[in-house]
Amino acid sequence: MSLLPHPFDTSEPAPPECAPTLARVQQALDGEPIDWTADEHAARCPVCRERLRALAVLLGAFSEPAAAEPVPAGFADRVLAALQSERPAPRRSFARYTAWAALAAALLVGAYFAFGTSRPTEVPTPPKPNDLVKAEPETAPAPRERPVRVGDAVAQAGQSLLDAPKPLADSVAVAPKLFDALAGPIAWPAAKLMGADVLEPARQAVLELPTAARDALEPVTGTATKAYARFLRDLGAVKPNS
Amino acid sequence: MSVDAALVTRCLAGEPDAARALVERFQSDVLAVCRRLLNNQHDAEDAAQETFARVFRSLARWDGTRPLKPWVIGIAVNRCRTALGKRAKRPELADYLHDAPDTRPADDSAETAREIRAAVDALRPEYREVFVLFHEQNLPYEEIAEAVGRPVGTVKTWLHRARLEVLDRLRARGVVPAEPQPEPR
Repeated sequence: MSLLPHPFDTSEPAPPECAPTLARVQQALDGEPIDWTADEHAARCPVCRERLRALAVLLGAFSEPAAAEPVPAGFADRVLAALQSERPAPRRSFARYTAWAALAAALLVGAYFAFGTSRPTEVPTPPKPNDLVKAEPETAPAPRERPVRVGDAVAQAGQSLLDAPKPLADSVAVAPKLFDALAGPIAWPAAKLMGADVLEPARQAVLELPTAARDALEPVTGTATKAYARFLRDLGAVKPNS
Repeated sequence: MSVDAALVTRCLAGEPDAARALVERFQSDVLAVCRRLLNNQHDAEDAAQETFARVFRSLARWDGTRPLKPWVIGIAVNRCRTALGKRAKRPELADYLHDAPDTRPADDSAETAREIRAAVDALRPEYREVFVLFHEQNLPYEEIAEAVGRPVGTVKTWLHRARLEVLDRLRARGVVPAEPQPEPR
């Protein structure tokens, strides 16, 4: 039975007395000439003697110059061909990067129109305490798309009426005058019943309306003009300041 | 300017013959390293081809004040590491599918060479790299350090441990001749 340590057990360091011999082994494998006769430890240690014999085998194998590694026929040609086929790669890469950049730009533009011009529907969440602390002063709200408003529509219609032919504009001008006449010093029986200022709020309301809105009331006021004219006619003898 | 630096300059200038000259200058060394580290002819050629592709891709970054060979060999070692990593993840083929049949004569020296090779192959990867680069590619410590990207001290430590393991494996495999017995009186 061999008393030598397990050959693959390199976890344990060699005994300290073997260290000088192992150092010479390394020097020999580095190519330095070694005088082994001066190594007294190797003469005593069976493990180191066996190592020296293995060293001789190894040095014998390495002493022969390694033959040049044979190169497969056409190897350089294949390498160069592969390099040639690789050369268009930058152009492919450039095209790929350009495509990605274009896609990114399109996404940015899309995102701008999708989210930048209108607010997304947000689910209101209760503010966190930190949010209250970090909240910045409210700035001017972003412009929002205005809903359709009746007043604006009426104003637009009024503007259209103003832009219309003259007869319509003339009839519009009647309305304030009518209310002026009704609210003015008209001596008619009904005035006593209704009071002198009964029409004043209506007159003021019409006067305070924007011009366009007031003009939009032309169909109404025109009807009112006719109604009151008919009413005054029916009264017969009643005349202003009479 | 060194020969290597002049060659690299020509390659970077796009001279058509320069690329071929660079490949032919290092192909034998690169193939030898790849064969020894991968132990497979097909994988070795693939790794060598990838090595040169990387070399030309990175040529502008080569430091002209340093030797070119360890830089190229270092790329080859890295390619072999990558190939070994991929190989570890794929199902293992039967051994007989890996290598071409060995046609070398079965004499003692060939047997010894096979034993040494088996002992080296059994080393852990970083030990095998430095052992192959030193003893089979005859690179000095400094160039091995350059190739594997480690300090010279680390390379020496790895190489010393690798040698002791190889010696012990040769002993265990019975390659070491018996100790001569003293003559009986």
